[in-house]
Amino acid sequence: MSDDPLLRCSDVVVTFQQKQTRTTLTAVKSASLEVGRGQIVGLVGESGSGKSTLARAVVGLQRIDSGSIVFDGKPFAARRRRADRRGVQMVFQDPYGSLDPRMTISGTLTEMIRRHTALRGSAVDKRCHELMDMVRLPSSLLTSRPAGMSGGQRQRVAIARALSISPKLLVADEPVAALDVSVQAGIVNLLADLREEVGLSILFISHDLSIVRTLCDRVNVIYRGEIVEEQPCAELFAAPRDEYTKTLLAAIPRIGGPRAGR
Amino acid sequence: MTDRAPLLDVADLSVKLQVGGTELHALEHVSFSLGYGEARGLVGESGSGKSLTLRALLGLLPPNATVTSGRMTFDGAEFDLAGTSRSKRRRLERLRGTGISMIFQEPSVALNPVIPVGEQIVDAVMRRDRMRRAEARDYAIHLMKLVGIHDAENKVDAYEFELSGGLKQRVMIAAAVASKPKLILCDEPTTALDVTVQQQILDVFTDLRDELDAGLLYVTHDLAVVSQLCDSVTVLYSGNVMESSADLRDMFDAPRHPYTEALLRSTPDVDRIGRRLYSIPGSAPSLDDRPRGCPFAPRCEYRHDDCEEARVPDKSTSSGREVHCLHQVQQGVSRVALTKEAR
Amino acid sequence: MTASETTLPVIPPSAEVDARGTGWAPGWMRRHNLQLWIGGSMLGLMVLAAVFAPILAQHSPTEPDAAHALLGPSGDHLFGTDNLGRDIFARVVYGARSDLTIAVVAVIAPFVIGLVFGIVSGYFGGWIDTIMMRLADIVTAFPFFILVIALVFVLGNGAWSIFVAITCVSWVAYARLVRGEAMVLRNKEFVAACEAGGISTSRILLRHFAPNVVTQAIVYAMSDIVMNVGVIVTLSYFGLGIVPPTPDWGSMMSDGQQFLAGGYYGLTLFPAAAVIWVSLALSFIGDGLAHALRIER
Repeated sequence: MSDDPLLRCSDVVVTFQQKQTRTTLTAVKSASLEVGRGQIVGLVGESGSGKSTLARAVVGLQRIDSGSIVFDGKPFAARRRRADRRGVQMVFQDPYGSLDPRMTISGTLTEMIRRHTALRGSAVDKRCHELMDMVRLPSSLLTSRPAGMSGGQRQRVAIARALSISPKLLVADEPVAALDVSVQAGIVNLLADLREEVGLSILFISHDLSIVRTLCDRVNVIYRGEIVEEQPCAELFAAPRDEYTKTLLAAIPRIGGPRAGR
Repeated sequence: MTDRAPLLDVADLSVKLQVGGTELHALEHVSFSLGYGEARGLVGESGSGKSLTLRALLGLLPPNATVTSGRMTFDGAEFDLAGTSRSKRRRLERLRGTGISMIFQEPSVALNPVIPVGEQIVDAVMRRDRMRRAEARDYAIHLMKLVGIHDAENKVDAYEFELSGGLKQRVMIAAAVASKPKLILCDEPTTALDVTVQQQILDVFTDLRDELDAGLLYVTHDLAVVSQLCDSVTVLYSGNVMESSADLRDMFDAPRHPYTEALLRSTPDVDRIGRRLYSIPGSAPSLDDRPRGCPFAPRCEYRHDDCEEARVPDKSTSSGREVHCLHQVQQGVSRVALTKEAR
Repeated sequence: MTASETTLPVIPPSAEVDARGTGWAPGWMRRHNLQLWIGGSMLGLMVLAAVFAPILAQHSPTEPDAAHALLGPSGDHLFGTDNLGRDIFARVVYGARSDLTIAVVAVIAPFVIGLVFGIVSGYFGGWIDTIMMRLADIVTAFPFFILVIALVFVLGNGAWSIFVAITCVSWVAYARLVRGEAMVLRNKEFVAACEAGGISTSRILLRHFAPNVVTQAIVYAMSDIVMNVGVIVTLSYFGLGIVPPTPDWGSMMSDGQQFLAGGYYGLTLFPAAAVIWVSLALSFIGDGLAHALRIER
């Protein structure tokens, strides 16, 4: 294992042209962050902070205006090749939108496996079963379509799809935000386990600091397109340096915490 | 709220849903009460029936839902929720916006985009009290300030789409309190908001409770939010009350129903380090194949043989604690224990 | 808005709300998808009649028989005869052959063209979308019938020109419909997941977009066939459609019209009933299909 991080974003800038007003909106301004090998790194921010845009830029769904994204020692070109795609995969927020309603689970997984690996025939099926085991789903679901599956199950399938081609980095964009608490815990634990089992590195995007604290090694706080603070998890929660981070931490409702009100 | 009769008392509320050719029992014998000036949390995961409960109280159920049983006493007046007759519906409808107000998760859905937000509050004010429009406008500005909109004089003429999510929700709250309701029903009003904004909205609610002596029935999935805002709490699961307590702290410190305990254990906690969260095995039963006994039984750690068979008798205690479980958690993993465990 | 109105929610599209088909049929009909069965049987009957026309019809649909003109319905002439003594029943079933064939065939080309246009336009957006939709605008700028009639006028009478004229005009409706669906899909996260997964664009369009947008187009196609029947009948009515003596419902009605005053209703009534029968069958099928092909998220 080399010393350089798996992912290094340097001074990434993403802007959008707004059609109606003909203005330029800077969603991400000069953001830099790193994900070390085998690390789970949190990216925390509120809505509109640019955290999802940055995540999409990392997986190549969003063009960047300037800056660089270096993955595994090699910078990504503006247009990603198929081989580039293999290293980074993404899990999305909406469990109901992230699977094709007309495709079976095995169809979804097979598509990815056939595109990126040399596996064919029964080897593909075997890999599908492995993946279902990995995300703790019964293989019997392989032949069904997403309709009728719960949010948690769908999200596990989405994780299985991302893992199907053994990426080094998983970008998880609010993967549990739409799930119930009891289900959310299972997904968070699964991500933690996958790091141990297959050495997956994860960039975990969330607005929920309590989950970040449970899962992550390091945390980046993003505010209005800028990373305002980066610290190891424990330190960030114990001694936040940035004013915004402090506000954010203070705002988290706590069970048994002080009552609201002034 | 001690010796006065409760502001709201809901007893034996059951709602049936017609989906496709099947009938689903979405709510079964739900009962709870709420005192004047009290805030009760109605907590549950999706599909627990928490929102349906709120809607049933106002007669705002979707067309495929019917109330099969249920009585409501509100501010001394009795209502039969199960009735479908016009006059019964009328009586309930008359409560909306006068005695009872409701606040939704998505303010942009409930606000009219082509009328300035201030106008919408003014309308709500005038519905209750006869006064001149200019007066009502002043009162609307006063209300907007009350809910923490500092430059209310400017914002009163703004349109819905010009406001941020937090401001919209404040406007909704202002419109809801404009009619001086005795009861405010909240359906996840802060779920769509950022934490920092959520904090401010929770503060607004707390202030309003003191100001108005109104009851607050607060539906949410977020235990931490309930813990910050409410006095009492009712936990719903698959359309049934699992545990109910007049004192929220009591329940959260020592949950007696296994589901409450599991829910508390699976909620991530900012103050707790540690990689593993408790995850409840399995998933909530679909409404059409709920076990005959306790709906939580198949996922329960403390399950006994009789759990899936026998209906759980009401086990209300005098202390306002109600636990629908045959085998209550004796020495559960309480919050206190968890925090110690982490250290 | 008043406080009481603020308490009137827009009920969110959740599982709790019955989200069955939008048709007008009563509940019992929808439950077993009777519409599809009824519509299917009605159309099936008509198709069978067309296929077995030579067996069913005792008389020639085209041979005039002046001795038996304008007869009322009887055992020999089920629907009676027309002014030239031709058997109306024979003409109706043979008319089904020409009218239904053109109506169905004339749906296929616009369906395919519209599907491709719509998917490409909706997926890529940007200038491709702009160009394609301007093209569609140009077509829609002309009233539907005027454009079809003008085209048939230029191309000359006959099945082939009807077919070309309908294709030129009606692909636009499919393209618009499919484009809308495709634009919704474009923002679905599974599409982003495919892109991030390096799935090729052609595969995304064929395996993910096409199956998801095609159902709406199929349902629309049913009503489009109805429309085509109408177009063919109308064209023939104006003498622009199917060339006589080939039997066709439109020209039958057009020809029979002048005898209505004389009390000879059969000449117009039976072809009109056939048109209504087919239209009703297809709208039942369309409604039933909308229900059957509906998929939960």
